[in-house]
Amino acid sequence: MVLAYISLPAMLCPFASVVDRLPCFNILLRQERSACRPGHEAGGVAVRRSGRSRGAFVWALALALLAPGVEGCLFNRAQLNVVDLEQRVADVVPGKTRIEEVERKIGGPATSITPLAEGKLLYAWTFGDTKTAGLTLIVLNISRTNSGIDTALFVVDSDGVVQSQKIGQNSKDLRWQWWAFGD
Amino acid sequence: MTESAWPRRVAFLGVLLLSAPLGCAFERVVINEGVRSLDPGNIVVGRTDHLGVLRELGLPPPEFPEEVGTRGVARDYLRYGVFESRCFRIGFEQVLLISPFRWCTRFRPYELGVAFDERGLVTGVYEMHRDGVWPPFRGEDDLPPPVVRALQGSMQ
Repeated sequence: MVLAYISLPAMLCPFASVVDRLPCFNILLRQERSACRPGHEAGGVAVRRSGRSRGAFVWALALALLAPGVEGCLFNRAQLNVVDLEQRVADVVPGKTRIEEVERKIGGPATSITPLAEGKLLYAWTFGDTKTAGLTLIVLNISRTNSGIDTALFVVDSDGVVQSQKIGQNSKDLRWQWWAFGD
Repeated sequence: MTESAWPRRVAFLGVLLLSAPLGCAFERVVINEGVRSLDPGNIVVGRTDHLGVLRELGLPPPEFPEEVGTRGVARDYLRYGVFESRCFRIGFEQVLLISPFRWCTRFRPYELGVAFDERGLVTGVYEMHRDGVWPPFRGEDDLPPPVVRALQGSMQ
C-alpha cells in the first residue's frame, strides 16, 4: 500500500504543483522532487539536470512497476448454468406440474435423464457457483476458492407429471473466504 | 548524483524489479462443503430404496464442473463427497515465467456413502473423515488414517 501510494505521485512527477502537495512523495522522494522542476533548481549545469530527470524517471518507472506486485486483493466468481434455479421452480407442485413446464421455467433441457423402474424418469439439472478470494503480496499469496456444484432432480411418472423434487444446497450462501488455513 | 553512481542504482533497481514478482502462494480449493450438512437420519437400512435415498439426499454432486453430465447414477454405491485441493508454489507468474516449484495434494476430507444391495435397498450408510496437509511442509505419510464409521448398517 505504501509503495503504491508512493508510485502514483511519482508518475505524476511532471505535474509538479500537484505532486508537491503530497507529503509522502515529499518525504521519501525529496531528492528527486527537485528534478521534476529543473527550471526551479539552483544548480544550472545542463548535464546534471538531465541526470536528475533521468533518475526521477527511473525511480517513477520502477515504483510504478513494483506497485501492482506489492499488494492486492483478488476476487473471482464463476457461475455454472442457472444459478437461481431454486427460485425458478419454486411453484412446481408435485403431482400436478408437468416436466415440460419445469423445462420451460428453467429455460433449457435437463443435464441428464435416467430411466427408473415402472416407466419413471429421473430428470437432473446441474448448476453451481464458485467464489475465489485472495490476498496477493510480493512474498506471499493466499487464496481460497469455495465451490458448490448442485443437482436439481425431478422424478417424473410415466405420464410426464413431476412426482417429487430435490434441489441441492451446496451453492446456496457460498462464502467469500481468502484465508486458506484452518477448517 | 554523479554519473559514476548510475550503474549501482540501475543494478539495485534491476534486482528490485526481478525480485518483486517472486512470491510463494498458498492456494486452497474446497468443493461441495455443503455435503457435510446432509442428514441421512431418515434412511433406514433394509427398507429405503435407491430412489428414496435420492429423494432424501439428492443426487451426488459432481466434484468438478467438467464432470457435469458425464456420469450416470451409480446403482450400488452413492458417494457424497467434499473435495479439497491444497497447493503451495513459488512462482514468477508476473513476468510470465512458470516455475516448477509447485506442490499440490488433493483429497476428500469428508465423504458420506450409501451402499445398496442387488435389490436396490440400502445396506449401510457410512461417513469418512480425513485430515489434509500442506505439501511440502508436511507429507501425507504424517497423516493419521481416515476415520470411517458406520452410521447405519454393517461395515462388512
